[in-house]
Amino acid sequence: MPAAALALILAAASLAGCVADPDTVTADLHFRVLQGQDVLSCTGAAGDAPSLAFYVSEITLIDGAGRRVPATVSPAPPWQSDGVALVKPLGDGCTEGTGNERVTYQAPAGEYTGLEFALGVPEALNHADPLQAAAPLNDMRMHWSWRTGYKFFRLDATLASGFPLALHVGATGCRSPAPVRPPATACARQNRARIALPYRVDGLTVDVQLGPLLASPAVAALSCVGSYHEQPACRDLIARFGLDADSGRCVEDCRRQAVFAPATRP
Amino acid sequence: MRPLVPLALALTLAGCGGGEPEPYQWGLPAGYPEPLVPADNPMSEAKVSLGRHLFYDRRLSVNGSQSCASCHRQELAFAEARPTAVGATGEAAPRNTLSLTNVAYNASYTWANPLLVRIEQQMLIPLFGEDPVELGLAGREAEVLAALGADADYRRLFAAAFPGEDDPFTFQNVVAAIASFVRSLISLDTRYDRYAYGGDDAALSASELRGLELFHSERLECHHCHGGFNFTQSTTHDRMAVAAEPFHNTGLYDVDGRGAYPAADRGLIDVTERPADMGKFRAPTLRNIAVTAPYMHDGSVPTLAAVIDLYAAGGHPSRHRDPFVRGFAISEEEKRDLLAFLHALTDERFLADPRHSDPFAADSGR
Repeated sequence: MPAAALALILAAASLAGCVADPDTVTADLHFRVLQGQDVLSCTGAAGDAPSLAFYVSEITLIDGAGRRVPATVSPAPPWQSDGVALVKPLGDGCTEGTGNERVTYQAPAGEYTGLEFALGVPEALNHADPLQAAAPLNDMRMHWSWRTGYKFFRLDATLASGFPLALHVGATGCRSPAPVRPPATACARQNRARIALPYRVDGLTVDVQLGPLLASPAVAALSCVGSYHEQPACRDLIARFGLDADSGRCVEDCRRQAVFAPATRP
Repeated sequence: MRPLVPLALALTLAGCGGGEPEPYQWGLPAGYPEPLVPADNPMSEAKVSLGRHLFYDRRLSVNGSQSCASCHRQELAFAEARPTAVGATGEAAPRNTLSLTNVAYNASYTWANPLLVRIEQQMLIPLFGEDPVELGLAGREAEVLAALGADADYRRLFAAAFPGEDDPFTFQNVVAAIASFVRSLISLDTRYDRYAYGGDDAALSASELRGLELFHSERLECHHCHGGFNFTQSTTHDRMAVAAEPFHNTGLYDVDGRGAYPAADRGLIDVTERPADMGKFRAPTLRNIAVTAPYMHDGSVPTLAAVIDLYAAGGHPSRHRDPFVRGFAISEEEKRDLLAFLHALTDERFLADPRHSDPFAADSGR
């Protein structure tokens, strides 16, 4: 085949968002961080810039008939492996080149109306031997211990009230003989939100709205890094993800979450 | 350990025979990740061996009074017992000497400098720095290289470490070899490791296990900055290309009521000039921490028990203090448990490993 013709075919394939297999669609979720109307980025960030990272897994597409079709988080180290992606839009003090704002997934071609993802690491991987973990599951800032597993969502920022916030969401109520032993049974509160969004065939830009998380009226440094159910201010923050702090489960399929939304403007 | 010497010799000889040298054997326990090594300074037994000699050689100071090992003492996990270091000419350095335990895994070097990401860069400070003078070799390079070149042992060691080079006696090679030796200082053989990763439930005592729980507790929050297999966020390795930037303000000082640290050493802000970096220092590994007293960047805290007291009190609650340093209640028994756990991070074999020891010592068989 002439090289020019091959190049054309490849170009057409990449425009259509599919590679090689015409029955499979490859698309991206792009994440953009907002605080009110302001888009936050590390470019030109001042010293007190928030840091934000979270895991995305179990992407599911919903077709017109309401059928749920699992998508695959593409293997793409260091940000994606084992069906898990780490999104780090404002990472580690906003050092340039250390972040990731995209999740690439593959799904069977089809007519879809909705997309869901789990905000966190699947239970089957959450308590695996951390020494053996590969990127992105070996980012220590996103890991508590073998027993408790990963921080599904981590935000370190300044509240609107001026005090620091540490919001680290993950499973709690985990029992094992030591922090370096995995729990024999599932943790009492999984705290793994499922986020539902409308589907776009060519991928979706998702706004991460920090406003609802930073609006807490706390009048001191606020640390929600476990035992959320025991602190009223942390219960409120957990509810922003659509979760019930007592059970760690979605309320009404997490539909009332207030953090993720399809981008309203480019 | 005696058989290791002939083994190292055999590897060296094989390396000189042409062809690809044997890949360096880290000797890590199963499962642990390998450190990242700069592509232009690959590890070899021959470089480690040369680097070990140079590390312990007092000829690498302006007046022959000090070597790297003068401040980095093996029995103290390659740290030293004084609060802050004193150089070859008696000048005081502002900071406490860091342990070299597992620095091959460091994401950055010194107490607070994200720009120093290789040992080869860091080492230029003690070798050539003039403010303060540490080993004081600035301007003495030719003299030192001539002295080394006149030594038959070094002619053999340099030739083995840098085969094929017409004149291997360069400071670039000196630095490369010392860096290789320092990278070889891996310490992962503790009772904690046997419990955590070896699956040996009997390796830690009941008190040490209670201390481990406290270490990971929400109340104490130690593990936030000292997490992972190497007990510091400042860790990178072959399975983790993306490193964190692990600098924290522990509330040790507040000299102006607004969180400022003493002007002599304000930590990360002195490098980045970002106001938010006031008083931030790198969280060092806690491996072998029981033998590296005194503590903190300025060596101002004499004992581990005093460190626990400091964190329990919460330090100065300035706006720069890390949110995880906020004070906690701890009973005397809990403190004993936490100390017992921290002592279980001592690798006794590392502190006496003949592969890391002074090759010029009288009992080294030389």
